[in-house]
Amino acid sequence: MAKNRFHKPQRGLTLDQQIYRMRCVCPQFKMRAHIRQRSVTWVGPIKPTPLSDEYKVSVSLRPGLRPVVKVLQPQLRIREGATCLPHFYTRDNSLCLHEVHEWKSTDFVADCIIPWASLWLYFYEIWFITGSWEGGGTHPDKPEHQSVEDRAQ
Amino acid sequence: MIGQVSLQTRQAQLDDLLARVCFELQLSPTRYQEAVARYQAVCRWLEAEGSPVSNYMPTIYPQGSMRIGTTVKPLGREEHDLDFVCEFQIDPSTIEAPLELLRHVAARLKEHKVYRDLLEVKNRCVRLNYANEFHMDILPACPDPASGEDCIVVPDRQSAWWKPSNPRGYAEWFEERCIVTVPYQFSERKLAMDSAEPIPAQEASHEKATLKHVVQLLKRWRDIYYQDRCDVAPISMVLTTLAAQFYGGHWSVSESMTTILERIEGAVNAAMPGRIYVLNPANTDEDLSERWDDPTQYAAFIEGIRALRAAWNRLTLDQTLEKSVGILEGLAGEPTKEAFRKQARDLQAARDANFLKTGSAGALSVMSGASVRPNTFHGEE
Repeated sequence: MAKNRFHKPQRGLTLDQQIYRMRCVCPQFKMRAHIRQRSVTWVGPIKPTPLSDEYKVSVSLRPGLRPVVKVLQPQLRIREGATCLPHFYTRDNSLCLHEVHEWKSTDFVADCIIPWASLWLYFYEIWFITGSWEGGGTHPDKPEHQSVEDRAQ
Repeated sequence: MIGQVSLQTRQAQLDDLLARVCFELQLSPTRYQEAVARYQAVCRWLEAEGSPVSNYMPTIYPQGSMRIGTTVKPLGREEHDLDFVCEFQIDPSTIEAPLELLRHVAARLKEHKVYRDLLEVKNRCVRLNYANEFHMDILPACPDPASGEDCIVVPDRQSAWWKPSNPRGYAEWFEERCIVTVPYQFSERKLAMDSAEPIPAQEASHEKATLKHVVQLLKRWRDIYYQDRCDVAPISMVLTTLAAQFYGGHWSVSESMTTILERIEGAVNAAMPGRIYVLNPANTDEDLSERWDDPTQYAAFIEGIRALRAAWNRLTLDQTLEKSVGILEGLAGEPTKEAFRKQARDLQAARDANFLKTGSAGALSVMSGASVRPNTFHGEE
């Protein structure tokens, strides 16, 4: 790895630290760096439980922003009778994994975001089967809810 | 109880769901208590002084699924069928017309202002219909010591003669089959001739023996599969006996089912071109599968069991969740969704208690690996 390629001191973890941790904890995830935007995207498999489907997921991280998690394959589906996916940002088709204050730039993507995404997918599957979201959570129109763009810290 | 979710392997997760399905299918604890109270009341009425049948010292005890803990909620209605034997201390050879017994019980129940309206006389039993609760079938019987301990004979309206049986011996045999490798001991059944034996305390679904779960699932599958042709559906006793005979002592419900189905099909193939005989292990004079003398009935059974085995193998091997759910729903019906919902609730509870971990590829597990930090799913909907 080129030394200090992304190194720019943040209040939180550097991209290098995130990349290193992802490589250790989630070696199945392939990384792509976007040098100009100073961001990285990981793409890899998540299979929440043995009976679950395996999902190809992308996680994009740009320091100062919340990580953006999208499901690439298989396509998420809205169950019959529902109008939209639960806990989902239609604006950029990403998963709503946490409230703003729950993610800090000192958190590792590998230790927080990947498990949360896995849980989200599990509850999504249960929702798809039963129609009920059992994962708890909050809904927007709350003051803490912000769009991706607003989430720059 | 927090975090009782097994997700280690496909089989473990399937077993977890199957146990939850069985829980949904069984008689609820409230209903169970009600059934016990009702049965004791009937008992008191038959034994009461002045009752013409009290002279024959009737002994009432549960039989069938109520006795062995394999009750299954019937499809499309609320009432469970609960079977009881009312054994009279009379030598059957002294009775000219066995149906007299059935009439005696019916006559006595008709004297009661409540039972009168609930009563229905069936082929071998009298039935009390408690709407929205259960059907209580009371089967009059006489001891038949010549055939062995606990053997009885029951009047049969169709043949107007006696039919041999042994529900207590059967239950003992079944419980023995259950304990092959089950890691807990069953309390010894007291089979003394008390006038009303207590119904065994109901086991919670998660501590129920594997074999009982398998039997519940088989009965439920039967109810669904033969829904539109009930007349050829294999009877519960046959399914229960086959399952117990071929049970391999596995702890896993799914593995046990796989083995049992494989062995049933093996026995069917070996018996060709004849049929298999399912005898009451506690009274081999009783051919539980007598209906299979009718080739149409037997053919329907073979066709059904083959379809079930094919579906079951797909369930244990198939890789997509949607298909697994579809297969499970075909086998167990509505409780499937509730099973998934409750598994998710328990997983969420485990997570709230900080017991939830993730492993490779985000695999969720309860109690091992790195703990999942609390988060709140947020979003537009």
